[in-house]
Amino acid sequence: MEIEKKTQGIIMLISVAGFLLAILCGYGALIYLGPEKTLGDSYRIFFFHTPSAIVSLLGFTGTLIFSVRYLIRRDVESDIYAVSTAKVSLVFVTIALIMGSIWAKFAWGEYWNWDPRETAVLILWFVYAGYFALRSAIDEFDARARSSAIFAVFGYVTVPLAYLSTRIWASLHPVIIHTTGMNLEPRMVMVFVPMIFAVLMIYISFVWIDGRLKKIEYQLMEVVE
Amino acid sequence: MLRHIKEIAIKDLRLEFRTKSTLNFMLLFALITSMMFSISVPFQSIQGTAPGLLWLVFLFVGLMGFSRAFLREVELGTLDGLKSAPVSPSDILLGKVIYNLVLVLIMEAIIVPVFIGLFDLEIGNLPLAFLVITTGNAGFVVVSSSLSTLVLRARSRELLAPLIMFPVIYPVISTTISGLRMAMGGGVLMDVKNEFILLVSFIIIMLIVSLLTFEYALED
Amino acid sequence: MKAIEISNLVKRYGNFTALRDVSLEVNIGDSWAILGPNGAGKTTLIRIISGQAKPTGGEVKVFGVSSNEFTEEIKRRIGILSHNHLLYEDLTAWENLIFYGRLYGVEGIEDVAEDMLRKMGLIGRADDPVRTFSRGMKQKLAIARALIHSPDLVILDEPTSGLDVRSRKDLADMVSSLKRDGKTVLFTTHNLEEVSEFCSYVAILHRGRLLGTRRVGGEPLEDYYLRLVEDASTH
Repeated sequence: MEIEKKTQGIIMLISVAGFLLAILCGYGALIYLGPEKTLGDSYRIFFFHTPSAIVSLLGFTGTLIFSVRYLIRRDVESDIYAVSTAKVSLVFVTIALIMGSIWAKFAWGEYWNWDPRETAVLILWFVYAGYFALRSAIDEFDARARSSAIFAVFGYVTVPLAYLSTRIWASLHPVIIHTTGMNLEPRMVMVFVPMIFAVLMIYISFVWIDGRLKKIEYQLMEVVE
Repeated sequence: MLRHIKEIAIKDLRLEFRTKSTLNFMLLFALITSMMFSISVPFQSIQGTAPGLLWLVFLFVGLMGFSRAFLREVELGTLDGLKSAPVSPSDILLGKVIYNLVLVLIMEAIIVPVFIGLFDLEIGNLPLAFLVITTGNAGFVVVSSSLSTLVLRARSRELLAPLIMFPVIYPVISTTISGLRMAMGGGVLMDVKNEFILLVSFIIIMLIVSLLTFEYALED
Repeated sequence: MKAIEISNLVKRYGNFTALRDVSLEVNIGDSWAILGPNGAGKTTLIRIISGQAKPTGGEVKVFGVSSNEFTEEIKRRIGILSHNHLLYEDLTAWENLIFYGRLYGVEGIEDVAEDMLRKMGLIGRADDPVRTFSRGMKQKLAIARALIHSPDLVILDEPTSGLDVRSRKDLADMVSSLKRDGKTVLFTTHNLEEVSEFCSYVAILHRGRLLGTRRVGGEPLEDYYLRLVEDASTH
């Protein structure tokens, strides 16, 4: 209980700091930075679109980790967090997809271009939508947790694929992070990198809140039994 | 153990050839979808769309047929017999994969000529086209054989199966189509080098994941 | 060494506890009946002992080997006959026996299978698909399948359900011949009369708990059973 209290405090701190940082970076992206030479003002969505996409990919990695942990330990907690990470990441990837297609309309002229990365991320979206479909179709707790954990391991293949898609196939998406550094102006990096951390912090607090809620629900069910 | 894998695959083939329950359905289904495509696609654009359509036929058929390998054992209750026998889970899986691969080869030998005839297609490099389809199907078989066990205890599993399989095998779908297009246009092996690298690495990764997780998939 | 040692076994399916704190020891050569109504956890117990399911807590040892490190070697020493006959209906009797025999690594499987079919009186139908068999013949073939690798521990999971008088008699003969050969027999049933007919020991399973174990004989089984169940519900 003592540890639980402590984590609760830390998570509260993370969530508040995350939101404040996001607001600050939002100000940086929308007001502080000037218009870009070729893209004009439309490039500003980059500071929301890309961090959401990056965090969702990291988030699904969390789902993989908790799924593998479930298969090894068979504990309720791992299953709960596998679901929470998948849920929050799915929200972020949906946001990234919507923002991306809006930006694509302005930058490339069409909402949807079947660009390799667009396609790969859409497939990723279908994988995790399938994950929840699979879970909703199995009633027995163990079978549901086990099947979906195994599926999460299979489905994770699409995550590195979404990341590497611009390198494997010719893509409209630019490669921003190189081994030699970032393909961005220094002023933009100052907004972009903190924004990733802000979204990551929001992700962590959402996962924690959702997981905690599910744990309480589970305990309540056990009491009722 | 190789002996167990062989026994299981042979047993399944013997069962299938005796009843032909899966094979006949798969064939009929393939023919009817080919006919539907032939009706709905205008003649002028067929040469360009044929690779995608041919591959779609295999996808539909495989989706219905491959999961039968495990469903049949569950329906008969014989999966418990395999599970209580001194056979490792990976042997059971590999036995099913090999059985499904044989089914695929039979289907290819029948469907591809029919498809070519039906659409009056010109195939530049027929052996290469076969090789691409077979490799693509191998990836499909590996993934669908193991994923089909995940929906065994789910409601409306026939609906759920394509929902969870299609996104996972997407890399196979897109790569096979592009390889097939190359082969139909008369390309040689070197032209589809990248496709093969991608397909083979996908198969290897998926085989490893399948073998690592299958023990859990069979448990209860 | 014991044939089966179960200590503090727990099996949970999510929130549902199928077995709680079950402990039982079975000596080699003994015949035990697991008695309990439907839903008492009999089949779950059998599935764990035979390596088809894993325990949530506690330990199960079969011939001294823990079920967590259950090897193919141990599975080879167990034979299962369940109400589901585990046969492929579209294969012939012969093909079924050969298939399972090979999986179990039986040496000289062709001779063994022929012997088995002869003993069961099925040799004349060896090449007919199982689909064409009567219920009693399927039962006989299922017995042959379960014993093809001459297991040291034979598990019978509600084997009498749906059997006619004749097939029941065959089953009883088989169990007594197993006992004569010094095999360990585990038998699940919800029928009180079958306990004394087939076994010398009985364990009462009720709602996932093992209420008591005893030798067959002495106090009528019915009284014993009712007393235990009543005790369990008042505590």
